[in-house]
Amino acid sequence: MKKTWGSLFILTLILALLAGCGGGGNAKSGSNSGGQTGQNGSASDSGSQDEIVELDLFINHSWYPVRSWTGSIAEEITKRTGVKLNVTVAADSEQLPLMIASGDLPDLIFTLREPRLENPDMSYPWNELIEKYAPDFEIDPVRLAVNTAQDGNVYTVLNSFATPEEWASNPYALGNDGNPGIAVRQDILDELGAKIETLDDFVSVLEQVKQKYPDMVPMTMDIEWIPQYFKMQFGIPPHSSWHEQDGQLKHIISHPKALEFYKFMNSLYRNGYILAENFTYSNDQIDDEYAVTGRAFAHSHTVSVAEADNAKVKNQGGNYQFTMIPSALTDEAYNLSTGTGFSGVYITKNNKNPQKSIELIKFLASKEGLELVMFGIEGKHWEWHPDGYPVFHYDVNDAEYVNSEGLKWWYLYSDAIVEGLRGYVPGTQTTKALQEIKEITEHNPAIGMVKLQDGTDEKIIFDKIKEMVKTEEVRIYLAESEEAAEQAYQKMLQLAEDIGLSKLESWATAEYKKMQELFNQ
Amino acid sequence: MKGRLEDRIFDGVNYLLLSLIFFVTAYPFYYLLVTSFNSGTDALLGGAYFWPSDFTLENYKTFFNDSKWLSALFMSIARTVVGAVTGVLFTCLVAYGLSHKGLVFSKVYFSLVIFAMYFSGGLIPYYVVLRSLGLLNSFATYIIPGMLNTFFLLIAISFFREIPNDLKESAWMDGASELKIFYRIILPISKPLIATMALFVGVGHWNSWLDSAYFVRAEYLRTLSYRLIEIINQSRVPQEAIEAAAGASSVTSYSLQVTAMIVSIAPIICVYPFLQKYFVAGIMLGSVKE
Repeated sequence: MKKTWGSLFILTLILALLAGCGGGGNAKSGSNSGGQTGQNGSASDSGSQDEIVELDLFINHSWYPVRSWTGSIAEEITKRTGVKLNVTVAADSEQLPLMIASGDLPDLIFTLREPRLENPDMSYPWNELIEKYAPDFEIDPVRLAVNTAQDGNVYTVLNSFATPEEWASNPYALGNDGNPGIAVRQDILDELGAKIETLDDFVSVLEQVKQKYPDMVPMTMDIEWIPQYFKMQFGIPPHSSWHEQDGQLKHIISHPKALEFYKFMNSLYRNGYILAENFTYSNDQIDDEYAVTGRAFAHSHTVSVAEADNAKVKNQGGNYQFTMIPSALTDEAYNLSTGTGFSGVYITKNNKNPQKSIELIKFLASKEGLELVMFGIEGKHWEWHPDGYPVFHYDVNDAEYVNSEGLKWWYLYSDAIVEGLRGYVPGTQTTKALQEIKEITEHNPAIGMVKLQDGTDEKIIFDKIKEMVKTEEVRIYLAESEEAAEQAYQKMLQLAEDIGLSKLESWATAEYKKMQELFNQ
Repeated sequence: MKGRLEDRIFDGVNYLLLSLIFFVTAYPFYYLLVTSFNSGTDALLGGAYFWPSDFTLENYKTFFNDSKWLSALFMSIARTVVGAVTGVLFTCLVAYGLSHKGLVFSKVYFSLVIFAMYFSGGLIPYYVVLRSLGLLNSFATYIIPGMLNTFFLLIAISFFREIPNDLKESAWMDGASELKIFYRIILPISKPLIATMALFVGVGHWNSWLDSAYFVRAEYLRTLSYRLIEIINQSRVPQEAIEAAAGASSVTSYSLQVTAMIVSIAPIICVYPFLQKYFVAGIMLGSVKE
């Protein structure tokens, strides 16, 4: 007994000691390697390109599918730039604030626009680094305007952005899967002998389905994609919280067409085309189940919904197919893109090698860099079609392959045009739907630049209205009569007014005007 | 020995209700188990509620063939074992010292302990302290901060105080040193206390993911619970990201998530029955003073 306890005690002490030493050792070796890389950095400053510089990259997206610098794309980037990245992906949204507060920043941070990083104490301004280390790295003025921080510096340039001119100049660059679409059962459509070219056609087909197939739900909707498609048909921007009206920036709920849209949505419910429970789905797979098990006629989700459903139906040995209905069913159909980009890289003040960092970005921003990341290695992964779009040797939607090769996700600097070209696969339903949407899309990044800062009155009003709309909207959708729906809409407007809608809108208009001036310069 | 009719009805209703509660509590775990033995695509279609509709061991093979998961499992076991042993031992040592009635400055010590139990500096100061102690990015960050558990310290103190002083005195007279008394006499009669502490501290270590996410960067130091969070995060792409990032989609197989959950629950469920007899005795410790 004595021995057991004694040896257990000693073992524990040893383990604790080892743990402690191991830690200390690690910490030391960590700082050593930091120092060394720093020296490597200065070595390469003086011209040597052979040595590989290792930089720490923190990705502030906990869902990010690639988590280590592996795969042929990463290797190729290292080969071309001499930079290797040690990647850490955020575990949750608190991790970056912790790093900022403690000052323990990695070399590079890939995140949404983060005002707390946009000052010279936290990050190196790109404009200074470019002037010093990469004078031939040119960024077009619109991008610079969109990404200029409050102090006039540019600390990052967000990817997934293209200027209206760039969009117009490339017919093959389309939007992405974040656009609404509806798929319907082709076999049933054929049986009914119906065609869907207008919104009225669509409603009448839903009515026929309801009559002839009483066991089926005429339409099932993804919980995240309930209003977008129909907003688009009524000329309401489907993604934006704002719309422009006579030079003023107004909240989307006060859009002149909003009442008409809500009445239409309510009629879908009152006529029994959508289930009330559809508004309570707790996950985005219930609607898929309805669609692929043959219990629903129409399925509303994104532009890729028909192809996604067809693949699942085929897997199960089903013998029917889904077809996309046109993206524009009315003459008013309209889509507004206010995008200013998705995420960008901040080069922090802790960066071991700012020169290599900006050179890495310069490479990613070059034509070959953009194509390498988005398409892959030319000849191996893809080649140009004579018409000017890439033809891929792999399935761009095969996420497993894409992630293992490191394709697409290292877009630390990129633009919406190359990203869009990646989605151009001629002949598919998704491409067709995206082309239709592109025709009705207007671009206005100035609206997207009106950003609410945390802690401001406007942000609080905006959030309160958003929460309120979430509950009130469902009341409108599920109202028992058209009058009740209209009343519910008026009540929602009144509530928004009480919360401070006018104040919010006048602030937004003033900001919007400032942003427009920035573009006009 | 027939009870009255009312009693039997009462018992019947009782059994029925308890069975229902048992089912509601246990079924989610059972469902995970079924799903983990079901093939991935088939599981997504639903239908496998009580028995795998398409039985496979593929998920477990994938799990145990992935060095990332294996190393996480090993790290979790290591921190749980080392963390529980050191945690229990150090907390007991401190508690034993503080349980001495004539201890000088005992009020100061107690105020310190109680203050630390109720107030914490918050995450950022904690992080800064860990950094200045050189504990970041090392195995020690899992162990050292958890070595003294204030809650169990108080319980242990009241437990040790209930041990008759004569026991210690007789050993003292036989020539045993304080340390010897502690591990030859006090610890052996404190099994219920130790088992309870080991269970709670161990489960705490097993489940903790925050330190693995925030305080370490080396991949080999990641624990199983962190990997679980990671895989769950990957399957939860926010709407804004889908709209902004070109078609962000996830490949994480739901079945693999479920398999990881089963693997992470299993050890705790296996250990629990063996500690339960102590556990019931232990949780009442110090609750009544005679």
